Amino acid sequence: MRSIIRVVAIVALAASSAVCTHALAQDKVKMGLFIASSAMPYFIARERGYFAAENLDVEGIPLATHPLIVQGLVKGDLDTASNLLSLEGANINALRPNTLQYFSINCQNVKYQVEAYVVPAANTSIKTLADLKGKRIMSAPGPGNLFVAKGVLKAAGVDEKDYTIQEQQMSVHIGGLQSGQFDAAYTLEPIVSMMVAQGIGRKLEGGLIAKYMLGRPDACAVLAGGVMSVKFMQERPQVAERLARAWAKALNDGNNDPKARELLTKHMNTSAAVAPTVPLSYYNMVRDLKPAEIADFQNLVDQATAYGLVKSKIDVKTMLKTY
Amino acid sequence: MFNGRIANALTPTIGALAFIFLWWFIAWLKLVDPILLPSPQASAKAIWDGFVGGNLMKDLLITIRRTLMAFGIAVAICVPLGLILGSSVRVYRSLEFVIDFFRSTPASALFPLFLVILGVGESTKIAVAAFGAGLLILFNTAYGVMNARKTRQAAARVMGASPMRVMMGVTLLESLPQTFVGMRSGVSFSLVIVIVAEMFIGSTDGLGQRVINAQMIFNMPEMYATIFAAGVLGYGLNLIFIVIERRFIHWGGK
Repeated sequence: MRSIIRVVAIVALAASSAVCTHALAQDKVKMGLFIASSAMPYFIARERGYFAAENLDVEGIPLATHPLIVQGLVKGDLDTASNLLSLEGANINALRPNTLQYFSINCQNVKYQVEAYVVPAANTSIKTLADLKGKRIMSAPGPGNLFVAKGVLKAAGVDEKDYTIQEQQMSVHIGGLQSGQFDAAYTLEPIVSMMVAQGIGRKLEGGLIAKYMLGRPDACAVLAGGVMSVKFMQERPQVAERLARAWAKALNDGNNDPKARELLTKHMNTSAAVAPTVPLSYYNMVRDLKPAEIADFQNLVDQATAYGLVKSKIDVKTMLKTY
Repeated sequence: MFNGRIANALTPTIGALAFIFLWWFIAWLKLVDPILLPSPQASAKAIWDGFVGGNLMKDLLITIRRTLMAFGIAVAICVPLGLILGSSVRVYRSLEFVIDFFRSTPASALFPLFLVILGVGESTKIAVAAFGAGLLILFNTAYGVMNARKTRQAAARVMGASPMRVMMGVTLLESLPQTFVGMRSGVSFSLVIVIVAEMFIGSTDGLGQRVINAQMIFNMPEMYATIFAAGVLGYGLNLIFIVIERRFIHWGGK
């Protein structure tokens, strides 16, 4: 009789420990990463234990292009993404409503300059954007960047027929400007800082989208943000909420803690020389966005729709999720 | 007899039709989200629209031009070089490592090197493709020469032919079947590299640029339409070489 009780006790103990282990197991989340400075919140949250504190095991999966991230979200291979281009998100939601929603938004403007026109350092004849008439320009790659590069010049009074523009991979921007093959570059950080630091380029003007395309230097030009698939939010609402809590802490550190920039060198291909000073966009949870900033987002998406980048008109509020 | 001829003509289409049917079936069952995999009908419509109202033909012709230029450069340099290297086993062996090293290196991985040397213009796309195709042609031509039947060369020498005559009249002809194998692989390789270059090293036109742009804005019917056009182009180039080979290199393997 005593041995039977002992066996039952052992089985009960084993079963209860299994239940406890299960309760303690972290929830797995798959997050797509596009390796750029806008992916920084992921690395902050991972390295500072914000995910773990929410009992989350967030696996970062680097993908080379934004369409691959969207593909992963549509297929269900990814639950979320750290930094998806806003126009890419708008386009997939226009084509396939309720695919994803942004829960964080990165703003860039004249104060937080991520994009800029850069000219060779030795060239003193180009002083304003208007001086780019008749010049050979290279642009960051992809239709989205080309849309912005042309849109800024158009708003600055330089017509498309007055210059030539060619997309180039970011890796050749420094060489293209240095060799004199191009007279100017529409390029992005950290390349802008590296060109300036190496004495190759001079920043003609930064924070262009806010100033020229949205009409206010302090406008929120939304080029990227954190997203979750609607499927993930519907099927695992508690996990999504905990993820957003961890993310909010990471965004706060990204905005306010200079030490977080060390992660740029470690994980995001930014040289140590420029990492402490390279301009970054301003991270916001959607709940912190002001109505004017949401209107800025709508304005940019509407312009992209008119240009043909986004398939059809979309209300950006349907793409935002507040946590 | 007549039925047999029709059956022979239709045989090559069986695989293509089976592929299209499988694609249609997967799309019809919606095994893959239609946003990611459009139906063959949607892609066919995108091809039609691209040719009729769009600039698919323009991009196709630009890619053909780049491919043929790369291939032409590769042939002009590497066939004579292959003949020279192949006629001296010692010379070929001394360079074999370099040839095999670069032949095993993905040409697309050498984009940065070519960009440094040639800059970001049109010439880089053509040069990388010519480089990759050239190594295939060089390797095959040299092996064609080295494997030329010695008895025929010896017979020509015995009959008093000069070394140049032996080279042009015997060795060259003996090596041509193998050279053509290299050229056929080379033209396909040129096309692949040109398209990859158009995708990734700055281009405002061409099929590669069209594929990447369609992908970026999730215009999947157009992306598949362009991929289809590239595939047909590759198949067509390959077919041209097979026809030329059968027509002119009839002594191959005999």
